[in-house]
Amino acid sequence: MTTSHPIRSVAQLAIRTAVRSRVYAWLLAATLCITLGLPFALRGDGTAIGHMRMVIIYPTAILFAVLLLGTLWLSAGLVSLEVSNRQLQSVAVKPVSAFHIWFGKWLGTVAIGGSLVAVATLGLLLSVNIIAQNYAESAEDHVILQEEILVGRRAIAPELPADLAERVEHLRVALVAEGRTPEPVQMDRVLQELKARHAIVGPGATASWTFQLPPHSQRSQDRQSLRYHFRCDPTERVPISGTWTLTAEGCAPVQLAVADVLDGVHHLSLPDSFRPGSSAITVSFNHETEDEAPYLFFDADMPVALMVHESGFSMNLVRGMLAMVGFLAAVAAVGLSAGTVFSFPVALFTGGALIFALTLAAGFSEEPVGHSHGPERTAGVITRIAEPVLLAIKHATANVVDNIPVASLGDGILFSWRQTGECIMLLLFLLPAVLGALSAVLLSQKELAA
Amino acid sequence: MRARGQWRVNSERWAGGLRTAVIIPLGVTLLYLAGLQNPRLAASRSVHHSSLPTVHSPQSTSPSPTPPLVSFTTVVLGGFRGIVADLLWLRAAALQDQGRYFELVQLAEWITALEPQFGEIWALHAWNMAYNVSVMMPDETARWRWVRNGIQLLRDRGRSFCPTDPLICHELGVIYLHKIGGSSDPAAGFYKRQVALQMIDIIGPTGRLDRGERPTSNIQPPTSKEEDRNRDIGELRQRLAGIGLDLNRMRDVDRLYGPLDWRVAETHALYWAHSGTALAGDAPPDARCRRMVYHAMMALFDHGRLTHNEEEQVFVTSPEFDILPNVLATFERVIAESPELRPEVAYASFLGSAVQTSFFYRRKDEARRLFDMLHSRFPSQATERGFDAFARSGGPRLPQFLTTEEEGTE
Repeated sequence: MTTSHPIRSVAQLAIRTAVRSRVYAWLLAATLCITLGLPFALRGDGTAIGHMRMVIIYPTAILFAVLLLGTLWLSAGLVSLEVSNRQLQSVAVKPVSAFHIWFGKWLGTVAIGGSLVAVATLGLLLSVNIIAQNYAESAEDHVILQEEILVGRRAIAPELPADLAERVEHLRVALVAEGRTPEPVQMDRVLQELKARHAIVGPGATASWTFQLPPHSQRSQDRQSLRYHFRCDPTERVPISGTWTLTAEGCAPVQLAVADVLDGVHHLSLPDSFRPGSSAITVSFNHETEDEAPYLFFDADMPVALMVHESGFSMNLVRGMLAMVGFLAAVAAVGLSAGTVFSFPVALFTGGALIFALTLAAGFSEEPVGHSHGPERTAGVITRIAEPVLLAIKHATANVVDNIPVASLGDGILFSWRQTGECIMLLLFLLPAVLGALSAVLLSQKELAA
Repeated sequence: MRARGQWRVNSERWAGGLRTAVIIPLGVTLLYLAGLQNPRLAASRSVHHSSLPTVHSPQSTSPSPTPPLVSFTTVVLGGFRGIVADLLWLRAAALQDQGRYFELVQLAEWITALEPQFGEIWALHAWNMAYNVSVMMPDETARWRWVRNGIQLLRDRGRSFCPTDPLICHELGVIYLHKIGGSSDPAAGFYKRQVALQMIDIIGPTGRLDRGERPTSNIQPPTSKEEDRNRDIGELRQRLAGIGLDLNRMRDVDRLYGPLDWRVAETHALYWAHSGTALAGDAPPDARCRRMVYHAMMALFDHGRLTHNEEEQVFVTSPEFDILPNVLATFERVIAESPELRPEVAYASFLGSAVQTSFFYRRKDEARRLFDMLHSRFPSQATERGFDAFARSGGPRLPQFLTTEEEGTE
C-alpha cells in the first residue's frame, strides 16, 4: 500500500460525505443560479460598459462569497462532526496517519471547490458572451466592450522617482517640524502624503511621469491607451483643458489635446504610430485651462496608467478562477484545522469570524497624515483595541486581498499569471501545508474516544 | 428465537409505518388549519400596516401581488433586511465617492426593494441619480441618462410600491420642474429637448391633446372609422402608459389647467403635482403637491409655449398667454381652499411678472388689468408708482432658444 492510497481514499470519502449531505448539490445549484441566472437579472446604468461590468463583477463576487462560506461549512464539519459522531475512530485505528486523514479531507474539499469553480467559469463565459451579443448590433458599443471590458489590459503604473527615500525623509522632517504628525512617524503614511502632493497640478503647470514598458509590451501590436484619474475642488468643478505629451526613444513625440474634461476617470487611445523603440516612456500633462484656474488633484496612487492589451477575457477569467480555487483551498485548510480543534459550531464560528475580520480590515482605512476633523476626541476602549488589530490584519493580508480577482475582471484589467501563481503558492500550497502539519499533530494527540 | 426476532422487526416496521400514516395527515390538517387563519392574519397586518406592500402596476388600477424578489427578501431576511440595506447603502456611497457610478442604478433598486414602503428612500435615490450623479457625467447625453434613471426609479417602480404616497409624485414633479424645466443645470436645454422629442414621437408635433375625444397624433392619421379611431387611442394610451402617463388624467389636467403643451417639461411637473393632490381623495391634498401645482402653472405661463421647427431643429419657448385665466383661477382656488399654504407671496410675484411680460408682448390691456388686480390685492411701493413705471421696470420673460449644438436622442 503506497502513501497516496490512504489520502485518495480519505479524499473520496470526503467527497462522498459532501455529496450525501447535499452540500455539494446546494452549492452546485447556487453556482448555476449565480452564473447563468443572475447576469440576466442585473441592470446597469444604461451603458454597455456599465451593464457588462455588473454582469462580470456581481456574479463573480457573490459566487466567491458563496463558495467561501460553503467550503468553510463543509470543511469545518469534515473532522469535527466525525469526531462527535465517533466515525473518525474507525478510520484512526487503521494504518492511516493523522496527516493522511487531514490532507485527504482537504484534497476532497479542494476537489469539490475546484469542480464548482470550473462549472462557474463555463457558466460565466456563456452568460457574458450571450449578453455581449446583445450589443453586437451597435458597432460602437461592441468595440468599446471589446477594448475596455472583455479584455485583460495591463495597467502600468508610473515609476517612483530615484531619490524617493531622500524626498520622504525631507518631508518627514518638515512634517515633524510643523507639528503635523506625532513621533514615531509611519513612513508609509509620509510616502502617501508625498504622492498626494506630487499629484497636485496648478493652472499653467506641467506634471510628468515615467513608465517602464515590459519587453513583451514593446513588441505588442495591440492598441494602447492612457488612463488618467483626477479630481477638482468640488466648489470649482470646471472643465479642464490641456495637452498630454508622450515621448520615447525611437519614435516621434505624440501630443494629444483634451478639452473641457470633467473630473473622473478617463481613457485616451494612443495613435497606432506611437511605437516606442525603448522601454522608457515619459508622459506629461500641461494644464492649460484659461478661463478659470482650478487645481487638479490626480489620484495619488495611480494618477496615470498606460493600458496595454495583453490577454483576452476568457484567459483572464480562467486565471482569476484559478486564484479563486487558491482562496477556497485556504479556507478549506482553515475550516479543517478549526474543526480539528473545536466542535462544528465553534469551528464554523471561528472560520467565519476570521473571514469577517479580513473583510472588515480590507475596508478599513487609515487617516491621512496631517488630516484633522477638529478637536481630538478620546477613543473608546473598543476603538483603541480594534483599530490596531484591524490595521495589523490589513497590512498582513494586503498582498492576498489585492489578489482577489473580482475588480480586475470587471474593469478589464489583466489578472496576471504572476498573481495567479502567488495565490496558488501561498494559498494552495504554503498555508495548507503549515496548517495541515499543525492540525496533524493536534489530531494525532486528540483523545477521540472522549 | 429467530421467529421472535423477526416478529420484533416486523412490529417495529409496522409502528414506523403507522407513525408515518398518522404524521402525514396530521401535518396536512394542521397546514390547512393554519391556512384558514391566514385571511384574518392578513387583515390584521393590513390594519397595523405591517404587511408586505401591495404593488400597483402603473398600467393597471388593480393591485397585484408583491414581486417575488421583494417577498423573498422580506420573508427570508426578516429583521436582517435593514442591515443588508445599510450595507448596500454604504457600498453605494463608497462607489459614488470613488466615481464608480455604473452600479448605482442596481444598488438603488435593491435598497428600495428591501424597504419598499418608505417613500423617502425612493425619493432620495432618484434625487441622487438625477441631481448628484448626472452632473458628474462628462457630456449631455450621459447626464440625461442619469436624470432619466432617476425619473424611471420613481415613476416605474416607486409609484408601484408606494401608490398612495404623494411624495413620489412630488419628487417626479421636482425633477421635471426644477431639474429639466429650470436653468440651474447647464444641460437643461438638452433635457427639455429630449422631453419634447419624446412627446412629439408619442402624441404628435403639436404636443396638444384636443381636449375632446380624440388626441392629435401623427403616428396614425385620423380616420373616419370608429374602429380605427379606437385603435389609435388604444395605441396612444399604451405608449403614454409606457412613460407613466395616463391619458384620462392628462385630459383632466388639460381641461382643468390648460391648454397645455405636453412637449414642455413643466406640463409634466403639473401632471405629477396634480396626481399627488388627487391621491388625497376627500382629505386635504398634500401641501407640497398643491404648491407645486401653482409653481408649475407660473412656469408654464412664463415659457409654456414651444415653437418647434423640425427642419431647423429649433426649439423656442415663450410665454403661454392662453393659460393665464387658469393660472389666476388656480391661485384663487388655493387661497380659498388652502389658506394655510400662504400662496399670496407667489401670487403677487406672479402678477408682477405677468404685468411686465404682457406689456413687453404688447398686450397692454391685459397688462393693465393684471396691474389693477395686483395693486388692489397686493399694493406695494412699486405699484404706487403707477402702471407705466411698473410695467417697464422689470425684465420680461424673453423667448428661450433651446437649440443645442450637440444632437442626441433618447
